[in-house]
Amino acid sequence: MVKVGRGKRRYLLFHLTVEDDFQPKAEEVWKAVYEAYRRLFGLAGLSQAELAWIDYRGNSGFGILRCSHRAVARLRTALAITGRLNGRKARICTVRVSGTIKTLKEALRGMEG
Amino acid sequence: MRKFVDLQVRLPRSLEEAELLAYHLKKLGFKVVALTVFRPQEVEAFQNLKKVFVRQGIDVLSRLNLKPRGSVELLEALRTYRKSFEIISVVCLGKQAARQAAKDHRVDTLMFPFRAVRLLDEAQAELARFSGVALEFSLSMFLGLGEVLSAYLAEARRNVKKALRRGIPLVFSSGASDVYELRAPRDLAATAETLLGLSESSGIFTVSQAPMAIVERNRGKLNRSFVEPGVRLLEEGSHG
Repeated sequence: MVKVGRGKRRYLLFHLTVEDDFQPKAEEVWKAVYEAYRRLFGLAGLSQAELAWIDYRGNSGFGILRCSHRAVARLRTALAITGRLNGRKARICTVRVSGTIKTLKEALRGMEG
Repeated sequence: MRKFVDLQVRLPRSLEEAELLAYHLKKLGFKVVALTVFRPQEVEAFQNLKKVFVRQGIDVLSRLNLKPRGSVELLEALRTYRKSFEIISVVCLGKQAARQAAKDHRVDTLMFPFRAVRLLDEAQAELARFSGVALEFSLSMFLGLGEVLSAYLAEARRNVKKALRRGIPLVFSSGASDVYELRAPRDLAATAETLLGLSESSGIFTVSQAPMAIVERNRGKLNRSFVEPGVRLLEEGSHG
């Protein structure tokens, strides 16, 4: 059920790989993604995307982001265009998109296990 | 089932690099990859590297990116290398070479870097429509543009519209030179979709059916039984 007043949401499970096995802090990853999104789609786009940082596990490189269901392709693009983190080459790939966080957490458990 | 193709990945420099690249490409869901060289001499190590990818279940093609300064140079290169490479792409830097590349059946894709993006005008698109050449963009090109990305995209979006109106196929590749520049096929499709103004189905088409059609067409052409487009030798018989 979707609450009245807010649109549908999507959760994105992503995987980060950084050069030299560097493990960046969660804030650094969030900032890089946020800046990439802002650079590409501006502040108006950012406000419509309703981005939220849900989870990030530094040791495995997996993380979860939330966005509006209309912004999934844009968020994927922002993740794809993030090519550097802390001056090192980086790759962020979307692993899975889901409408519920539970599904992604189960998938994440499976992948980490 | 949909086969994802990365039509442009730099030829790895060593077997170790090839192993890593093949592993990541498989993990990301690619089935076909074109290993790219800028100088034909670089392709010597191709056969050894190919085995590494085949072991991972990835189909490999050889690709040559040409950067001709004029049409004479392009024609000469096509005559010499067309049969040695499965994919030949032309990076258009000047008008003369761009026009020649667009009307030549031996060219598979055209790429327009920042300074030459205006070359894809109506006349260029019309020539490309008749020769069957595709228009290609790569993520690495976008990543390398920095502050001029917005200007490039504005022009590229207009050109993409022209191309699509005429039915010219569009290909989106990673252009990766290492594993960090690789991206998942659906991420590449989403990038093409949002930055080049494509629909969702067209986005996914640029990383699957469109490059696959080029691969199949060229494999057919390089086959011994190929005579000319539409004519194939079915069986060789003896005279008399």
